[in-house]
Amino acid sequence: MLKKLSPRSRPATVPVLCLFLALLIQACDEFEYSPYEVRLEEDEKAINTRNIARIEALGISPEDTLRFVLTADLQGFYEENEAMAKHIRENQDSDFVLVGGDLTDFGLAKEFKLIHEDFKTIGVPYVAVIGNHDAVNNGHEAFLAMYGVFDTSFAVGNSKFILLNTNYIEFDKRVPDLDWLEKELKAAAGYENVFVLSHIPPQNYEFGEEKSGRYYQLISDYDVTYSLHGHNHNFDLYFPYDGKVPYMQTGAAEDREYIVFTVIGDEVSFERVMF
Amino acid sequence: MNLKTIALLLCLTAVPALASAQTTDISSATARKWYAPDAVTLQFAGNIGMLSIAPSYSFAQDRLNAELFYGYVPRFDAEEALHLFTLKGIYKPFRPVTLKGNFSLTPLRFGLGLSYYFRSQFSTNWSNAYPTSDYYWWTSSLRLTGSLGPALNYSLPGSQSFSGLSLYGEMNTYDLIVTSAFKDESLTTWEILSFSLGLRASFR
Repeated sequence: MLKKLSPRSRPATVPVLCLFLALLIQACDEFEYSPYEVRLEEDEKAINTRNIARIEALGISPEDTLRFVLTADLQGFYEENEAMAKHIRENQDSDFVLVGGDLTDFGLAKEFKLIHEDFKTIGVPYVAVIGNHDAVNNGHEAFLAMYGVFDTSFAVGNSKFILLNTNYIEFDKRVPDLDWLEKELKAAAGYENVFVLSHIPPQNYEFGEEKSGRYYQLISDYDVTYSLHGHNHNFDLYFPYDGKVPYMQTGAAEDREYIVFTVIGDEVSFERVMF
Repeated sequence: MNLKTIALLLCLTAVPALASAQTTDISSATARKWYAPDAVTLQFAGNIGMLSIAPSYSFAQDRLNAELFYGYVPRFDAEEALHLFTLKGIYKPFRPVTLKGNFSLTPLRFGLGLSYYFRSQFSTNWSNAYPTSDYYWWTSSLRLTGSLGPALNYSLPGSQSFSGLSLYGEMNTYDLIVTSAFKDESLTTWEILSFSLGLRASFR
Protein backbone atom coordinates (compact mmCIF):
# COMPACT_ATOMS: atom_id res chain seq x y z
CA MET A 1 0.00 0.00 0.00
CA LEU A 2 2.81 2.39 0.88
CA LYS A 3 4.43 1.58 -2.42
CA LYS A 4 1.64 3.52 -4.09
CA LEU A 5 2.86 6.76 -2.54
CA SER A 6 5.49 8.45 -4.58
CA PRO A 7 8.53 8.67 -2.28
CA ARG A 8 9.60 11.83 -4.05
CA SER A 9 6.57 14.00 -3.49
CA ARG A 10 4.13 13.22 -0.70
CA PRO A 11 6.18 12.30 2.37
CA ALA A 12 8.40 15.31 1.75
CA THR A 13 5.68 17.86 1.01
CA VAL A 14 3.61 17.16 4.12
CA PRO A 15 6.28 18.04 6.71
CA VAL A 16 7.51 20.93 4.58
CA LEU A 17 3.98 22.30 4.32
CA CYS A 18 3.49 21.90 8.07
CA LEU A 19 6.73 23.66 8.84
CA PHE A 20 5.80 26.45 6.49
CA LEU A 21 2.37 26.85 8.09
CA ALA A 22 3.84 26.74 11.60
CA LEU A 23 6.27 29.51 10.67
CA LEU A 24 3.47 31.50 9.08
CA ILE A 25 1.40 31.26 12.26
CA GLN A 26 4.31 32.40 14.36
CA ALA A 27 5.25 35.22 12.02
CA CYS A 28 1.78 36.54 11.52
CA ASP A 29 -0.65 37.58 14.20
CA GLU A 30 -3.40 38.18 11.69
CA PHE A 31 -5.30 34.94 12.09
CA GLU A 32 -8.52 35.56 13.98
CA TYR A 33 -10.52 32.63 15.30
CA SER A 34 -13.71 34.40 16.40
CA PRO A 35 -14.89 37.92 17.20
CA TYR A 36 -15.60 36.48 20.67
CA GLU A 37 -12.18 34.93 21.27
CA VAL A 38 -10.12 36.15 24.24
CA ARG A 39 -6.48 35.65 23.26
CA LEU A 40 -4.17 38.13 24.96
CA GLU A 41 -0.58 39.27 25.05
CA GLU A 42 1.06 39.44 28.48
CA ASP A 43 0.74 43.25 28.67
CA GLU A 44 -3.00 42.96 27.95
CA LYS A 45 -3.75 40.87 31.04
CA ALA A 46 -4.84 42.04 34.52
CA ILE A 47 -4.47 45.72 33.58
CA ASN A 48 -6.43 47.07 36.57
CA THR A 49 -4.62 44.81 39.00
CA ARG A 50 -1.20 45.81 37.67
CA ASN A 51 -2.05 49.50 37.38
CA ILE A 52 -3.50 49.70 40.89
CA ALA A 53 -0.22 48.25 42.16
CA ARG A 54 1.61 50.94 40.17
CA ILE A 55 -0.59 53.70 41.66
CA GLU A 56 -0.05 52.42 45.19
CA ALA A 57 3.69 52.29 44.51
CA LEU A 58 3.76 56.00 43.58
CA GLY A 59 4.34 56.79 47.24
CA ILE A 60 1.83 59.65 47.37
CA SER A 61 1.38 60.76 50.98
CA PRO A 62 -1.87 62.20 52.46
CA GLU A 63 -0.27 65.69 52.40
CA ASP A 64 0.62 65.56 48.70
CA THR A 65 -1.52 67.03 45.95
CA LEU A 66 -3.28 64.27 44.05
CA ARG A 67 -4.34 64.77 40.45
CA PHE A 68 -6.33 62.33 38.35
CA VAL A 69 -8.15 62.32 35.02
CA LEU A 70 -11.68 61.02 34.54
CA THR A 71 -13.08 59.91 31.18
CA ALA A 72 -15.70 57.39 30.01
CA ASP A 73 -17.48 55.97 26.96
CA LEU A 74 -14.51 55.52 24.65
CA GLN A 75 -16.53 52.94 22.73
CA GLY A 76 -15.41 52.90 19.14
CA PHE A 77 -14.31 56.54 19.00
CA TYR A 78 -10.77 55.53 18.10
CA GLU A 79 -9.79 58.81 16.48
CA GLU A 80 -10.89 60.85 19.50
CA ASN A 81 -9.42 58.28 21.84
CA GLU A 82 -6.00 58.54 20.25
CA ALA A 83 -6.22 62.34 20.42
CA MET A 84 -7.24 62.17 24.08
CA ALA A 85 -4.39 59.80 25.00
CA LYS A 86 -1.95 62.15 23.28
CA HIS A 87 -3.44 65.19 25.02
CA ILE A 88 -3.26 63.57 28.44
CA ARG A 89 0.32 62.47 27.82
CA GLU A 90 1.44 65.94 26.70
CA ASN A 91 -0.59 68.26 28.90
CA GLN A 92 -1.47 66.63 32.16
CA ASP A 93 0.60 66.27 35.24
CA SER A 94 -1.83 63.68 36.59
CA ASP A 95 -1.03 60.64 38.72
CA PHE A 96 -3.46 58.28 37.02
CA VAL A 97 -6.54 58.02 34.79
CA LEU A 98 -9.96 56.59 35.61
CA VAL A 99 -12.16 55.23 32.82
CA GLY A 100 -15.86 55.15 33.68
CA GLY A 101 -16.86 52.18 31.51
CA ASP A 102 -17.87 51.45 27.92
CA LEU A 103 -14.39 51.06 26.52
CA THR A 104 -16.05 49.08 23.72
CA ASP A 105 -19.24 48.86 21.67
CA PHE A 106 -19.50 45.06 21.61
CA GLY A 107 -17.34 43.76 24.47
CA LEU A 108 -14.84 42.35 21.96
CA ALA A 109 -11.27 41.63 23.07
CA LYS A 110 -10.18 43.28 19.82
CA GLU A 111 -11.85 46.55 20.84
CA PHE A 112 -10.35 46.46 24.34
CA LYS A 113 -6.94 45.87 22.75
CA LEU A 114 -7.29 48.86 20.43
CA ILE A 115 -8.15 51.08 23.40
CA HIS A 116 -5.29 49.65 25.47
CA GLU A 117 -2.89 50.36 22.60
CA ASP A 118 -3.58 54.09 23.06
CA PHE A 119 -3.98 54.14 26.82
CA LYS A 120 -0.76 52.34 27.55
CA THR A 121 1.04 55.31 25.99
CA ILE A 122 -0.30 58.00 28.35
CA GLY A 123 2.63 57.63 30.72
CA VAL A 124 0.53 57.06 33.84
CA PRO A 125 -1.50 54.04 34.99
CA TYR A 126 -5.19 53.80 34.05
CA VAL A 127 -7.93 51.87 35.80
CA ALA A 128 -11.26 51.03 34.17
CA VAL A 129 -14.69 50.07 35.47
CA ILE A 130 -16.93 47.85 33.33
CA GLY A 131 -19.69 49.48 31.25
CA ASN A 132 -22.85 47.89 29.87
CA HIS A 133 -21.38 47.63 26.36
CA ASP A 134 -18.29 45.94 27.79
CA ALA A 135 -20.50 43.28 29.36
CA VAL A 136 -22.36 42.10 26.24
CA ASN A 137 -21.43 39.20 23.94
CA ASN A 138 -18.31 37.63 25.48
CA GLY A 139 -17.40 40.90 27.22
CA HIS A 140 -17.66 39.51 30.76
CA GLU A 141 -14.82 37.14 30.03
CA ALA A 142 -12.81 39.62 27.97
CA PHE A 143 -12.99 42.28 30.69
CA LEU A 144 -12.23 39.80 33.46
CA ALA A 145 -9.11 38.58 31.67
CA MET A 146 -7.92 41.99 30.51
CA TYR A 147 -8.76 44.20 33.50
CA GLY A 148 -9.67 41.99 36.45
CA VAL A 149 -12.60 41.68 38.85
CA PHE A 150 -15.66 43.88 38.22
CA ASP A 151 -15.80 45.45 41.70
CA THR A 152 -12.51 46.73 43.04
CA SER A 153 -11.01 49.51 45.14
CA PHE A 154 -7.73 51.16 45.95
CA ALA A 155 -6.38 53.92 48.13
CA VAL A 156 -3.87 56.62 47.34
CA GLY A 157 -2.82 59.53 49.57
CA ASN A 158 -5.84 60.53 51.62
CA SER A 159 -8.36 59.25 49.07
CA LYS A 160 -10.14 55.99 48.52
CA PHE A 161 -11.44 54.96 45.08
CA ILE A 162 -14.22 52.39 44.80
CA LEU A 163 -15.05 50.95 41.35
CA LEU A 164 -18.53 49.43 41.21
CA ASN A 165 -20.19 47.38 38.49
CA THR A 166 -23.65 48.91 37.97
CA ASN A 167 -24.61 47.08 34.76
CA TYR A 168 -27.78 45.71 36.28
CA ILE A 169 -29.44 44.25 33.17
CA GLU A 170 -26.27 42.75 31.64
CA PHE A 171 -25.54 40.97 34.93
CA ASP A 172 -29.07 39.54 35.24
CA LYS A 173 -30.09 42.00 37.96
CA ARG A 174 -27.44 40.63 40.37
CA VAL A 175 -25.51 43.93 40.44
CA PRO A 176 -24.74 46.52 41.73
CA ASP A 177 -23.52 44.62 44.77
CA LEU A 178 -24.49 47.19 47.37
CA ASP A 179 -23.51 44.98 50.31
CA TRP A 180 -19.99 44.99 48.92
CA LEU A 181 -20.19 48.76 48.41
CA GLU A 182 -21.26 49.27 52.03
CA LYS A 183 -18.39 47.10 53.24
CA GLU A 184 -15.94 49.16 51.16
CA LEU A 185 -17.44 52.44 52.40
CA LYS A 186 -17.11 51.27 56.01
CA ALA A 187 -13.48 50.35 55.34
CA ALA A 188 -12.90 53.82 53.85
CA ALA A 189 -13.70 55.56 57.12
CA GLY A 190 -10.09 56.66 57.66
CA TYR A 191 -9.84 58.51 54.35
CA GLU A 192 -10.64 62.19 53.90
CA ASN A 193 -12.04 61.69 50.38
CA VAL A 194 -14.03 58.82 48.93
CA PHE A 195 -14.78 58.53 45.20
CA VAL A 196 -17.23 55.93 43.93
CA LEU A 197 -16.90 55.28 40.19
CA SER A 198 -19.45 53.32 38.18
CA HIS A 199 -20.71 53.35 34.62
CA ILE A 200 -24.49 53.70 34.86
CA PRO A 201 -25.67 56.45 37.26
CA PRO A 202 -28.50 55.61 39.70
CA GLN A 203 -31.00 57.92 38.03
CA ASN A 204 -30.93 55.75 34.89
CA TYR A 205 -33.54 53.02 34.66
CA GLU A 206 -30.77 50.56 33.68
CA PHE A 207 -29.19 50.94 37.15
CA GLY A 208 -32.09 48.89 38.53
CA GLU A 209 -34.95 50.76 40.12
CA GLU A 210 -34.92 48.62 43.25
CA LYS A 211 -31.19 49.31 43.65
CA SER A 212 -31.01 53.08 43.26
CA GLY A 213 -32.71 54.02 46.55
CA ARG A 214 -30.17 52.19 48.67
CA TYR A 215 -27.29 53.50 46.53
CA TYR A 216 -28.33 57.12 47.19
CA GLN A 217 -28.73 56.29 50.86
CA LEU A 218 -25.26 54.72 51.15
CA ILE A 219 -23.56 57.56 49.28
CA SER A 220 -25.23 60.04 51.60
CA ASP A 221 -24.74 58.09 54.84
CA TYR A 222 -21.04 57.56 54.26
CA ASP A 223 -20.49 61.13 53.13
CA VAL A 224 -18.95 60.20 49.77
CA THR A 225 -16.97 63.02 48.11
CA TYR A 226 -18.09 62.34 44.54
CA SER A 227 -20.27 59.76 42.80
CA LEU A 228 -18.71 59.48 39.33
CA HIS A 229 -20.38 58.05 36.20
CA GLY A 230 -20.46 57.79 32.43
CA HIS A 231 -23.07 56.19 30.16
CA ASN A 232 -25.20 59.15 29.05
CA HIS A 233 -22.60 60.78 26.78
CA ASN A 234 -22.83 64.32 28.10
CA PHE A 235 -21.37 66.21 31.02
CA ASP A 236 -23.63 66.81 33.97
CA LEU A 237 -23.21 67.71 37.62
CA TYR A 238 -26.07 67.47 40.06
CA PHE A 239 -26.87 66.96 43.74
CA PRO A 240 -29.67 64.40 44.01
CA TYR A 241 -31.18 62.88 47.15
CA ASP A 242 -29.61 64.84 50.02
CA GLY A 243 -28.47 67.90 48.05
CA LYS A 244 -24.94 67.50 49.40
CA VAL A 245 -23.00 64.82 47.50
CA PRO A 246 -22.13 65.83 43.94
CA TYR A 247 -22.87 63.30 41.18
CA MET A 248 -20.83 63.78 38.04
CA GLN A 249 -21.53 62.33 34.64
CA THR A 250 -18.71 62.68 32.10
CA GLY A 251 -19.06 63.07 28.35
CA ALA A 252 -18.03 60.44 25.83
CA ALA A 253 -14.71 60.48 23.98
CA GLU A 254 -16.56 61.87 20.95
CA ASP A 255 -17.35 64.99 23.01
CA ARG A 256 -13.57 65.64 23.07
CA GLU A 257 -13.61 66.40 26.75
CA TYR A 258 -12.18 64.86 29.90
CA ILE A 259 -12.13 65.92 33.54
CA VAL A 260 -9.08 66.63 35.70
CA PHE A 261 -9.58 66.36 39.46
CA THR A 262 -7.21 67.95 41.95
CA VAL A 263 -7.22 66.81 45.57
CA ILE A 264 -5.44 68.91 48.20
CA GLY A 265 -6.30 67.73 51.70
CA ASP A 266 -10.08 67.64 51.79
CA GLU A 267 -10.35 70.25 49.02
CA VAL A 268 -11.46 68.61 45.80
CA SER A 269 -11.79 70.63 42.60
CA PHE A 270 -12.20 69.69 38.97
CA GLU A 271 -11.58 71.18 35.55
CA ARG A 272 -13.24 70.27 32.25
CA VAL A 273 -10.53 69.93 29.61
CA MET A 274 -11.33 70.10 25.89
CA PHE A 275 -8.92 68.54 23.41
CA MET B 1 -3.15 25.66 22.73
CA ASN B 2 0.50 25.85 21.80
CA LEU B 3 2.12 26.04 18.41
CA LYS B 4 3.05 22.37 18.39
CA THR B 5 -0.57 21.33 18.73
CA ILE B 6 -1.61 23.71 15.98
CA ALA B 7 1.05 22.27 13.67
CA LEU B 8 -0.10 18.75 14.51
CA LEU B 9 -3.71 19.61 13.73
CA LEU B 10 -2.64 21.12 10.45
CA CYS B 11 -0.76 17.92 9.61
CA LEU B 12 -4.06 16.12 10.00
CA THR B 13 -5.31 18.05 6.98
CA ALA B 14 -3.08 15.73 4.95
CA VAL B 15 -5.03 12.70 6.16
CA PRO B 16 -7.64 12.71 3.36
CA ALA B 17 -4.86 12.54 0.78
CA LEU B 18 -3.17 9.63 2.50
CA ALA B 19 -6.44 7.87 3.18
CA SER B 20 -7.25 7.81 -0.52
CA ALA B 21 -4.80 5.00 -1.08
CA GLN B 22 -6.58 2.83 1.44
CA THR B 23 -10.18 2.95 0.30
CA THR B 24 -11.78 0.23 -1.75
CA ASP B 25 -13.61 0.91 -4.99
CA ILE B 26 -17.05 0.30 -3.44
CA SER B 27 -17.62 4.00 -2.75
CA SER B 28 -16.90 5.06 -6.31
CA ALA B 29 -19.09 2.36 -7.75
CA THR B 30 -22.24 3.48 -5.95
CA ALA B 31 -24.07 6.64 -7.00
CA ARG B 32 -23.95 9.38 -4.37
CA LYS B 33 -27.08 10.07 -2.37
CA TRP B 34 -28.48 13.62 -2.58
CA TYR B 35 -27.50 14.36 1.00
CA ALA B 36 -23.96 12.99 0.69
CA PRO B 37 -21.47 15.88 0.58
CA ASP B 38 -19.41 16.52 -2.53
CA ALA B 39 -16.36 17.47 -0.51
CA VAL B 40 -15.02 17.95 2.98
CA THR B 41 -13.45 21.25 4.04
CA LEU B 42 -11.11 21.99 6.89
CA GLN B 43 -10.37 25.61 7.75
CA PHE B 44 -7.90 27.33 10.06
CA ALA B 45 -8.93 30.76 11.48
CA GLY B 46 -11.25 33.15 9.61
CA ASN B 47 -13.60 34.01 12.51
CA ILE B 48 -15.49 30.71 12.28
CA GLY B 49 -13.28 28.87 14.79
CA MET B 50 -9.59 28.26 15.25
CA LEU B 51 -10.26 25.01 13.44
CA SER B 52 -13.47 24.21 11.67
CA ILE B 53 -14.65 21.29 9.56
CA ALA B 54 -17.55 21.10 7.14
CA PRO B 55 -19.35 18.87 4.69
CA SER B 56 -19.33 20.81 1.43
CA TYR B 57 -21.84 20.77 -1.42
CA SER B 58 -21.31 21.87 -5.02
CA PHE B 59 -23.88 23.60 -7.20
CA ALA B 60 -23.83 25.13 -10.69
CA GLN B 61 -20.76 23.20 -11.87
CA ASP B 62 -18.95 24.04 -8.68
CA ARG B 63 -19.40 27.79 -9.13
CA LEU B 64 -21.31 27.71 -5.87
CA ASN B 65 -20.49 25.82 -2.71
CA ALA B 66 -22.46 25.50 0.49
CA GLU B 67 -20.60 24.38 3.59
CA LEU B 68 -21.80 23.76 7.13
CA PHE B 69 -18.89 24.20 9.53
CA TYR B 70 -18.53 23.14 13.09
CA GLY B 71 -15.95 25.48 14.61
CA TYR B 72 -13.97 25.32 17.82
CA VAL B 73 -12.11 28.09 19.62
CA PRO B 74 -9.98 27.04 22.62
CA ARG B 75 -10.59 29.10 25.72
CA PHE B 76 -7.16 30.79 25.72
CA ASP B 77 -7.60 33.56 28.34
CA ALA B 78 -11.39 33.20 28.62
CA GLU B 79 -13.24 30.99 31.05
CA GLU B 80 -14.70 28.66 28.45
CA ALA B 81 -14.04 27.47 24.91
CA LEU B 82 -16.38 28.45 22.06
CA HIS B 83 -18.38 26.10 19.86
CA LEU B 84 -20.16 27.39 16.80
CA PHE B 85 -21.84 26.37 13.58
CA THR B 86 -21.34 28.41 10.42
CA LEU B 87 -23.30 28.11 7.21
CA LYS B 88 -20.97 29.42 4.52
CA GLY B 89 -21.79 30.08 0.91
CA ILE B 90 -18.97 30.42 -1.63
CA TYR B 91 -19.25 31.95 -5.06
CA LYS B 92 -16.50 31.50 -7.65
CA PRO B 93 -17.12 33.99 -10.48
CA PHE B 94 -14.25 32.71 -12.70
CA ARG B 95 -13.41 29.25 -14.01
CA PRO B 96 -10.16 27.73 -12.71
CA VAL B 97 -7.08 28.57 -14.80
CA THR B 98 -5.05 25.48 -15.76
CA LEU B 99 -1.47 25.53 -14.56
CA LYS B 100 1.36 23.01 -14.92
CA GLY B 101 0.73 19.34 -14.28
CA ASN B 102 -2.33 18.61 -12.18
CA PHE B 103 -2.55 22.13 -10.80
CA SER B 104 -5.10 24.80 -11.50
CA LEU B 105 -5.87 28.17 -9.95
CA THR B 106 -9.27 29.49 -8.90
CA PRO B 107 -8.65 33.24 -9.02
CA LEU B 108 -11.38 34.30 -6.61
CA ARG B 109 -13.73 32.84 -4.05
CA PHE B 110 -16.31 35.09 -2.35
CA GLY B 111 -17.58 33.74 0.92
CA LEU B 112 -20.46 34.77 3.14
CA GLY B 113 -21.07 32.99 6.42
CA LEU B 114 -23.63 33.09 9.19
CA SER B 115 -22.36 31.78 12.54
CA TYR B 116 -24.39 30.58 15.48
CA TYR B 117 -22.75 30.44 18.92
CA PHE B 118 -23.85 27.84 21.43
CA ARG B 119 -23.32 29.53 24.76
CA SER B 120 -25.97 30.96 27.03
CA GLN B 121 -24.41 34.41 27.15
CA PHE B 122 -24.78 34.69 23.38
CA SER B 123 -28.50 35.27 23.33
CA THR B 124 -30.70 35.40 20.27
CA ASN B 125 -33.09 37.69 22.15
CA TRP B 126 -31.96 40.49 24.41
CA SER B 127 -33.46 40.69 27.89
CA ASN B 128 -36.90 42.31 27.90
CA ALA B 129 -35.71 44.41 30.86
CA TYR B 130 -34.25 47.02 28.49
CA PRO B 131 -36.11 50.32 28.32
CA THR B 132 -36.29 50.17 24.50
CA SER B 133 -36.42 47.22 22.10
CA ASP B 134 -33.49 48.55 20.03
CA TYR B 135 -31.13 49.16 22.97
CA TYR B 136 -28.54 46.95 21.19
CA TRP B 137 -28.97 46.61 17.44
CA TRP B 138 -27.22 43.28 16.81
CA THR B 139 -27.99 39.69 17.78
CA SER B 140 -25.38 38.24 20.08
CA SER B 141 -25.57 34.57 19.05
CA LEU B 142 -25.41 35.29 15.30
CA ARG B 143 -22.42 36.76 13.47
CA LEU B 144 -22.04 37.47 9.78
CA THR B 145 -18.62 36.91 8.23
CA GLY B 146 -17.28 37.70 4.79
CA SER B 147 -14.24 36.38 2.95
CA LEU B 148 -12.35 36.77 -0.29
CA GLY B 149 -9.37 34.92 -1.76
CA PRO B 150 -7.88 32.51 -4.31
CA ALA B 151 -7.47 28.73 -4.29
CA LEU B 152 -4.82 26.41 -5.66
CA ASN B 153 -6.33 23.16 -6.93
CA TYR B 154 -4.60 19.82 -7.42
CA SER B 155 -6.43 17.04 -9.25
CA LEU B 156 -5.95 13.44 -8.17
CA PRO B 157 -6.60 11.27 -11.24
CA GLY B 158 -5.08 8.25 -9.50
CA SER B 159 -7.25 8.41 -6.41
CA GLN B 160 -10.38 6.32 -6.19
CA SER B 161 -12.18 8.36 -3.56
CA PHE B 162 -10.94 11.93 -4.05
CA SER B 163 -11.00 13.80 -7.33
CA GLY B 164 -8.97 16.74 -6.11
CA LEU B 165 -7.63 18.93 -3.34
CA SER B 166 -8.03 22.66 -3.12
CA LEU B 167 -5.90 24.82 -0.84
CA TYR B 168 -7.44 28.23 -0.31
CA GLY B 169 -6.42 31.42 1.42
CA GLU B 170 -8.84 34.13 2.49
CA MET B 171 -9.03 37.64 3.83
CA ASN B 172 -11.84 37.84 6.34
CA THR B 173 -13.93 40.37 8.17
CA TYR B 174 -17.18 40.37 10.14
CA ASP B 175 -20.25 42.50 10.69
CA LEU B 176 -19.46 44.17 14.04
CA ILE B 177 -15.98 45.33 13.11
CA VAL B 178 -17.20 46.60 9.71
CA THR B 179 -19.74 48.82 11.48
CA SER B 180 -16.93 50.04 13.75
CA ALA B 181 -14.94 51.06 10.66
CA PHE B 182 -17.94 52.99 9.37
CA LYS B 183 -18.34 54.72 12.72
CA ASP B 184 -14.66 55.64 13.00
CA GLU B 185 -12.63 56.26 9.88
CA SER B 186 -9.31 56.01 11.69
CA LEU B 187 -9.81 52.26 11.99
CA THR B 188 -7.59 50.97 9.16
CA THR B 189 -8.29 48.20 6.68
CA TRP B 190 -5.61 46.06 8.36
CA GLU B 191 -7.36 46.42 11.68
CA ILE B 192 -10.62 45.00 10.36
CA LEU B 193 -9.12 42.23 8.19
CA SER B 194 -7.66 38.89 9.15
CA PHE B 195 -6.52 35.80 7.27
CA SER B 196 -7.50 32.17 7.05
CA LEU B 197 -6.34 29.01 5.30
CA GLY B 198 -8.39 26.02 4.24
CA LEU B 199 -8.24 22.71 2.48
CA ARG B 200 -11.16 21.29 0.53
CA ALA B 201 -11.02 17.65 -0.58
CA SER B 202 -13.56 16.76 -3.30
CA PHE B 203 -15.02 13.27 -3.35
CA ARG B 204 -15.02 11.42 -6.62
